Amino acid sequence: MIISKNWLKDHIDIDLDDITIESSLTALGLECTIKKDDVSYKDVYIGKIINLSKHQNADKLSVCDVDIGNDKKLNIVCGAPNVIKNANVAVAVVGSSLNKGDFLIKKTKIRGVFSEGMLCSEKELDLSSKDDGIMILPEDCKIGTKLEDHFNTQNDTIFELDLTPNRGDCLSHLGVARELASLNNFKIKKTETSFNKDFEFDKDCTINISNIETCYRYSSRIIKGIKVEESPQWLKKKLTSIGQKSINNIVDAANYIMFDTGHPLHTFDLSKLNGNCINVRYAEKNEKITLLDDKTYDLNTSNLVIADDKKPIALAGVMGDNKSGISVSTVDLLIESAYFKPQIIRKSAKSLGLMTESSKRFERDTDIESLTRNLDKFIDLINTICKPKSISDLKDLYLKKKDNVIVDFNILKCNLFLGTSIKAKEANNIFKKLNIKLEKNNRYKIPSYRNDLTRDVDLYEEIARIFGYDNIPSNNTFNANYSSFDNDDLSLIKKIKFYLMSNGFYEHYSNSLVDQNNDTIFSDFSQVKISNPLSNKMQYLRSTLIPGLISAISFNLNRKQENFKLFESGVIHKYVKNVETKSIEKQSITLAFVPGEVKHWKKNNSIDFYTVKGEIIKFLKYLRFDKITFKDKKNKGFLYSFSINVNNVPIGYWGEVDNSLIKHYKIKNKIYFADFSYEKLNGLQNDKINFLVPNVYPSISRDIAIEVDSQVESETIQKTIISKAGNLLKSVFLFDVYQDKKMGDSKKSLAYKITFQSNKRTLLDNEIDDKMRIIMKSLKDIFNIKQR
Amino acid sequence: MSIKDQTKKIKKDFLERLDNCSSYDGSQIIKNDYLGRKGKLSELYSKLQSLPRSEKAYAGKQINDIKIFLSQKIESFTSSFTEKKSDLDKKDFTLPGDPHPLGSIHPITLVSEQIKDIFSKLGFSLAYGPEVDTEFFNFDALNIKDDHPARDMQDTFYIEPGVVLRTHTSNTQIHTMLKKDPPIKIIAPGRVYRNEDISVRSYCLFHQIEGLYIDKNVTFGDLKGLLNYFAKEFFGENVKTRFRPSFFPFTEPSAEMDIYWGLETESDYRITKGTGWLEILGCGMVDPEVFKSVKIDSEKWTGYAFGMGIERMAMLKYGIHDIRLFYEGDIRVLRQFR
Repeated sequence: MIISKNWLKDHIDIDLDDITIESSLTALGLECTIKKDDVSYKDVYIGKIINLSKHQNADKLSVCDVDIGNDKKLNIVCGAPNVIKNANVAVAVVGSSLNKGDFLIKKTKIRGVFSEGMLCSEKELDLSSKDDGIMILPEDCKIGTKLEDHFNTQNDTIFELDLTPNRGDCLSHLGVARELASLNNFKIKKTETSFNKDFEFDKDCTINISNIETCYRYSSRIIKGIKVEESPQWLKKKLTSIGQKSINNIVDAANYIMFDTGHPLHTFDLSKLNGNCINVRYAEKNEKITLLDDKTYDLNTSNLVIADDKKPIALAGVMGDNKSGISVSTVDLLIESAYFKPQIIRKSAKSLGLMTESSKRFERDTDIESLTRNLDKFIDLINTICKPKSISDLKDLYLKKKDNVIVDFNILKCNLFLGTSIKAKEANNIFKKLNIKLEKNNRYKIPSYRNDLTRDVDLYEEIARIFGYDNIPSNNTFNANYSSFDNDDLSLIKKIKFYLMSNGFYEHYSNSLVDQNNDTIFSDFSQVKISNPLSNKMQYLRSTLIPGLISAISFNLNRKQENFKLFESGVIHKYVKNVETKSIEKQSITLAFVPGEVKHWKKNNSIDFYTVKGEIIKFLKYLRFDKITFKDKKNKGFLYSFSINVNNVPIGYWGEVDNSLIKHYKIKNKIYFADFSYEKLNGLQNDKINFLVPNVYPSISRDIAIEVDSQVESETIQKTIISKAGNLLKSVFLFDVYQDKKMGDSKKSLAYKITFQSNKRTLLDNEIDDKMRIIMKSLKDIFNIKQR
Repeated sequence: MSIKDQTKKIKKDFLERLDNCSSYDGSQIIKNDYLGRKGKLSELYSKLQSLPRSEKAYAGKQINDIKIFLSQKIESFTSSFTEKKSDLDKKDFTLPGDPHPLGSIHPITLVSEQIKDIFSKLGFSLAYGPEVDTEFFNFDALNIKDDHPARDMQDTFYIEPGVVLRTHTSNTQIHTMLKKDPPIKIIAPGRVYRNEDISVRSYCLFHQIEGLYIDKNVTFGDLKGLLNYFAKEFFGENVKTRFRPSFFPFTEPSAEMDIYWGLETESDYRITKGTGWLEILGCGMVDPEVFKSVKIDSEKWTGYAFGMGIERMAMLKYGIHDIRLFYEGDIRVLRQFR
């Protein structure tokens, strides 16, 4: 809501400076900022042309001697036809800028004569479209002042209020004036209206309200013999000061009343009515209306309309149609000042996707008691600005009274609630300022314009507001009741995140609104679909974290970053039809590995398959998992992949992405992912530590190197060794894998360190030799190995 | 004394001295005394000139032999020092160490953890609510009625009629209150969605932390105390706060807390709209209508609630100007946060 300080003065004698008004309104809950004039020029001064001569080389140019104050005179070449001696003009000097800084003024030579600036037209200053000459300023303005200061002192201060939807009453200058008055004990000025009633309304028109639950009150007058023309200057200026366009005297007057009192009026051209009835009713099926925006709307039965005898002529409380309104030919007017039930206007406007200055106010509820006062204020205004021939008497159909709102208020309870010790007298004083009247015995009557106050807590807020939120003492003691403590189901995530950071992973957050095509590459789940998406690229909720990570990977690869690791922890969604929200949500943690050569003076390096495998095991060990196994398992979108199992329960999977499926990302590097279900990581965690006393007996190790067919997997050999080594085996460690030309591709050499240890005695060399013989024999028998 | 005897004596003296020598510098003095330009061997050589031709060759060999012997001895003695010295000389201590790259924690996580830590200290437990929820939890139970303009305060994504992507973490308030009897003292972090065009200042989703405290005799003054403490912990001891009236359908009275940001730079003017004050969070006393919808007796219990946007806090804290940076995954951005 835009508020003009000058306009406020119509309602209160205000003697506060702008900053005080700004901070007072903000402290009252009407978030306020002073609107800065957004001028497009900078450092333009007012100067006086003290001398004028013709340019020696150009007929149409003049050379002006311009006084810009502070004893400074400039020589400026000007081509405007209206340049004249002694005129006050706007001078852009060397260093000034126009057009929001795009046009810098420099010292130039025009046809051989130096020019130290420029005299500006209104268009050049972006003040209007006038460009037929330079702007001539009034005689009495001060030479040397900045142009914006000159306008400011002449004008007004404009405040911009960011209003909350409960304060419909402040969508007006009167409402804002009342708020300021409540804080400063200003008196709201009464407006007197006086005009003669020349004829009876009923002779020309009948008003029918078909359902009083929709329209509690309808008041109206008819004015005859008006002339639609340009508004008087003062009215134009008022509306333009709050950013409203001036249209004509009648429309401007109605808008003026709305921005002044907060109540939307509607005007009909009497001659355009079919018949002589105004009917307030619901629209019928298949009725249409073409509104002032020149769009045609199919009405539904929840649309309240104003209709003549034939058809709807206005969508009640929202907008008039494009025929029945004011035009240059309008002579006789019917003015509507009505109270519509807020919920009905909201539903009606929303169903057609409309929101107007009028519907905004009706939705937030209006002051039913103000209807005739506002109507007469309008008539009075019309009477002064366009001298109508005749005015009807008042038609006031007040069919349903709104109950007076009476609220019980107890100062003790209020203090307990706010943590204050406000005295009853002080509270009553606050209420008086807010026009809230004590009826009897702690019962208070709320003024008709404050529809937001219905309960005791609402009055606590009023007390707090006027008392000042900042004056309420801050309690610096804290209560903690142990029965309020709960476990944090997601506490492990923090631990995981900091672990991954320490191990070189960057944490990523991706958009959970995704393109279905990207999601289904990796996911078997059906996706949750948004019915009103921002775009079809963001129409689904992610069912996997992988595509979000891929798009971050692609972003970074395109910026020449390589060999990095990312992770994301977040919610994924799965569509489930017979769940009320259609969605099951799960926490997921996904690790991404992107190889790329890293050169280092000791050894060049890159992430590869085995790096990933090792990292996964380390990560799971950190989370205190021990029996970790990987099993081949085909996953969507992967070239190859493995399930990750703990005690044979799958907790996730990992593998290498099939790049042919994500061609659109144009990624050349391999990408590995490991994807975990948080639920499983959290649920299967083993908190127990089995402490063992360190073994005091020495261990014996033997190294063996064997040559074996290359397709034999190292794990099966390892398993064979373990199974044959007996219970003295401590560990089997593969320390070398080797191939050379002599062996060829079909063979490989594996080297193991096998360690034995007993916790009861020192082992003997020859018993270990026996064990080794058994191991080697079975390796020869099973794998046909050659010992090296 | 014959040359031979002299060389014998020189050898004996030399070995004695070397035996007693324990430093590199010492050995260099000995070396100079025997092998130097004015050393003992030099003297012998000069004597050689005066010998008869027949003896010259033999004596010369004697001196040469002893010279080689002494040089070797000195050499082997000093080698224990000089070898070490030259090895260290060769080592380049300035070569970079092995790469162990550190990763990063997302600024949203960093700020969120910091906020969680502050409130956890004061006895708030963590609670979570779903991102996809019914209108009952996201709106109706929070007194955001369909027929009131307050419903339009947030642009909402719908899955189907009645099912929304939550527009705030306040749905967790309702879930918690239906699950648990008071006293309740929770904070609820999470992701929320708004159907707004993506720009420098707004994204289709962001993160919030919500707080709810319900107990006997909870007052507005308690709320102020809590949030002032929070502001000090988060922004520093000298932070200046103010509370001003606002409106949320689920609290009454409602307030917004601002911190004084200052007006030193042009950007300060822009982000504070020239007032110097910056809105940080919304809060208020739980509205009796909310208690009614979860069947908590508002005569017996009172409570407060508050909520703040994590991206906003992170943007202020780190001076991040564009909200979209949070979701691009740009390593050059991410690696700055630890």
